[in-house]
Amino acid sequence: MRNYFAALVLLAIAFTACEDKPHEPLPILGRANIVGNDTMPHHIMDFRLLDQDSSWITNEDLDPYIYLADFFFTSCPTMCPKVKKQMMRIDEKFAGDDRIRFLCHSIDYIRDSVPRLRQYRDNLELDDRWHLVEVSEDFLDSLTANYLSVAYADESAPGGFDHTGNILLVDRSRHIRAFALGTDPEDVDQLIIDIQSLLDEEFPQAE
Amino acid sequence: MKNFLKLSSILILATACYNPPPEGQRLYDFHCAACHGQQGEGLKSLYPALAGTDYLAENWDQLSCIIVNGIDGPILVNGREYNQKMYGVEGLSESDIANIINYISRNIMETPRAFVSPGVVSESLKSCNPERD
Repeated sequence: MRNYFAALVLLAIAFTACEDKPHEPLPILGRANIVGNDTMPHHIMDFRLLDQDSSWITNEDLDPYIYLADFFFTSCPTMCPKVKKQMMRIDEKFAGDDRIRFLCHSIDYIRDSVPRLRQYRDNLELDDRWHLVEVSEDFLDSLTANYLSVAYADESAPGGFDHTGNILLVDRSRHIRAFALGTDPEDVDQLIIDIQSLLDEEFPQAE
Repeated sequence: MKNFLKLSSILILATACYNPPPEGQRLYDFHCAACHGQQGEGLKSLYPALAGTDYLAENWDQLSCIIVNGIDGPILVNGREYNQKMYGVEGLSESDIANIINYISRNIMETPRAFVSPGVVSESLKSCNPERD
């Protein structure tokens, strides 16, 4: 009798362990600002950046979408091709999904002009969900820090610039919700799961 | 004595399980694969493939120079134009370059080419980089 009871308890535990539980929402990353009695979560600062089609891209343009952001430059011979491959893997995974955008910030304010960004976009055969944008020298530090990243000119670095290779996931309220090391495919596997979670949160299906 | 035998067995087992990649593969992965791909497949119209391309077949003898000096300007690969600057790889020895070339030859080319020694690399570099030490 005692054995039957123990078996029943174990079965009950096993069943409840398999029960679908709602996913925990992704956290909001970055240091929160405390203003008076209010805690303001970290959010992406206002920006207005020129993309490969000579269109100005602002926060408002991206507000209807969740987006993936990274920092790169077109002549980068080391990390950027690896990160771009992973960004393109995400693009393929969510092919045609109009709820997602890609915002790639060029940190090479010396060489990466609009025509050069356009050529890069064309060479990678990227669709119009992608915005490759120029970032001016005086805006670079504050913008990269705001995205919890680092980028700077460094003569000793291959291509003349050094930077972090993170891919950041931003929600429709301008909060960074997840990130992955863009050179690590396994880390990006987890980011793909996080993107789906954020899509489910931001665009709930009508029951 | 017993402890010595135990320690030796553990050491043998540990080293038997460690199988580092060949030097050529390590160097290729570090210096080349980011752009040209792990299997030499390239990336769209940005970085040309190495596998199955007429350009590499026709410029095989120039490969040492290409690795060291890079390429600046448009090139035609299998009928498609590529114009992304390739930077030369700094700090490679003749032996490193030979390892990379032999790795590409055996693992990426459809038909492996003749083995390249560091001496062959050194000779080849004289044509494009005469001041190299």
